[in-house]
Amino acid sequence: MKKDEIIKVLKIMIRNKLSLLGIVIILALIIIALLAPFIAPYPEQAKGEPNLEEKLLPPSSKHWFGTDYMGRDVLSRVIYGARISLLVAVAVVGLGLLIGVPLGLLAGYKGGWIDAIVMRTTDIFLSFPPLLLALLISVTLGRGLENAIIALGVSWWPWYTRLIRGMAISLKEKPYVEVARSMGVSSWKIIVRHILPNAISPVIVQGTMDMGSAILEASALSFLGLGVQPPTADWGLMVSQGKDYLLNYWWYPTFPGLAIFITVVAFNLVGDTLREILDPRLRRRFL
Amino acid sequence: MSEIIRVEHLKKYFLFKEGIFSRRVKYLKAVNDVSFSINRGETLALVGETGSGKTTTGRTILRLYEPTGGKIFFEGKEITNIPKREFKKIRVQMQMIYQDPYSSLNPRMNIFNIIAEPLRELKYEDIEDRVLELLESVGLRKEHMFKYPDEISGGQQQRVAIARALGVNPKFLVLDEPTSALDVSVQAQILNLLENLQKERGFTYLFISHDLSVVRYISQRVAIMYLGKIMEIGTVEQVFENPQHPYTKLLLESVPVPDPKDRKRRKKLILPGEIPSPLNPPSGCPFHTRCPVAKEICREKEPEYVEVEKGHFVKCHFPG
Repeated sequence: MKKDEIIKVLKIMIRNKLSLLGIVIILALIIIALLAPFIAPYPEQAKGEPNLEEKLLPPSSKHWFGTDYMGRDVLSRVIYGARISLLVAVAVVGLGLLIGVPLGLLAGYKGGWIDAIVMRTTDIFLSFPPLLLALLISVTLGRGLENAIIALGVSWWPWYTRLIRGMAISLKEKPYVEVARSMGVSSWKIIVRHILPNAISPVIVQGTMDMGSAILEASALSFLGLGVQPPTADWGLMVSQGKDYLLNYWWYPTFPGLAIFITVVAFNLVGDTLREILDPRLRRRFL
Repeated sequence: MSEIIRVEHLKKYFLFKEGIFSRRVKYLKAVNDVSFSINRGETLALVGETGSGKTTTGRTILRLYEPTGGKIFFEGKEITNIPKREFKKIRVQMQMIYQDPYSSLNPRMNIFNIIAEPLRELKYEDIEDRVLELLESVGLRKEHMFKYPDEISGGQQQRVAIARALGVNPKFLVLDEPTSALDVSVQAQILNLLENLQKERGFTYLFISHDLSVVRYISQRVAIMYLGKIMEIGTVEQVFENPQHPYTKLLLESVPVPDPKDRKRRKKLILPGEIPSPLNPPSGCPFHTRCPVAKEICREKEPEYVEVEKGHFVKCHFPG
């Protein structure tokens, strides 16, 4: 994308109240994640140190979000959880894009047997319910954050491949691509210069929205005991452990759950506005 | 004058399958046995209604569509079936200018990069000077260099497309209705530009159009197409002053006359009906369904070409 276009898009996004809210939340999360050791009131407890004298205390001025079954400060752990969640969001979507976009471009532009192989492979991946596939890969690879990220990324790429392949197919018929080909420009250069820049907008939108879903699914994996392992502070894991306490100690699963909810909504707000701006048919309204 | 392009019995059929399970296929005969040649430095206009196959003819000559039959010669060398790798070198000398200039420019590249791209391929030195030179030769200025296609007008976009084509020093250009998407005032500018470039550089044009007044202005020879066939071909004077095919006459009649007094004097002859579907072309002469002078034989037998004057051919049983 052009530099001044990015600035233009950012300006519009800031003018739109909902997307501004989304941006503010995401920026706040990034700051919280970066400064977690300084913000969290009990960083040691966030890292897992038990504090058994203060088990399951309700929210108070000492522990704003209450404490969990080991007496650890829930607020501190939610703050530290932002680090994991953002890492997961970026890593999963990044991995998905890294695999999905080049394959989609190649399949769409080249067609023929390359297209057939890539598309049948995506069909195999897409025939599983997404979480189930991630679950399968995760189980195979073993527990842990890295494996969860790999599992999610690997189950994610076919969506981007399909999306960008469709774009590539329609773009390769464009006269400017035809001209480039007639002037002897190589396929590789055509893909990089002509197809990719014009096909990437919907993928950016999808990727932004998917960051929310990635956090949600990573939480689900943690919830099922596959992703992040205790005592690491992770939102999904906290909801999972807290669910047994929901009736008597509501604050324990509620605050990490809220954190997931707010983050997912924020990414969706930003993605939605991005889509409206980058869609050429809706674009004139803004520019 | 030497010949640069020769087309012999060119055919392009598109395949249509009927239904999902049926094995029956239908051919859309977009270009059906078309022959002509163009001399160096000449403009041949290809005229016809929508669906007459004129654009398909142009694209097939450049092998943007693979021809179904017939032969294409470029500078005396047959290029119909030569392998892609070999064709690549020849293909650079044949460029196309499109009807919609905006879609022929990558919206994410600025003008400089659009024009510089083929130059980089050809390993030119001093690309910046060369781009500027090309811009100036199509009447654009340095200040346009770093704009994007959506920041300039349609006429300027078409100039950029022309400048890009000039960069590879082509010999033959297919102009696919290059002005029909532009305002009338801009149309004239682009036509003048194309004409001047032709004089300066000796380009050969295949000018595809449905606008007869534009054709008369820019071309030396005209071919009238109908349902994938050339009905009449000759010099501009021959075809416009002495049309022999009933279809040509009706087409010429339908050109709007700017003077209302003149309009009244002229007898009204309107081309009846629409062009038949090329999926179900009529038997015999393809034009007999709309022809005012059609007789029994027209329905049964396809007419051969008749040379009424030197270089003026008509495909009709009853020319004149």
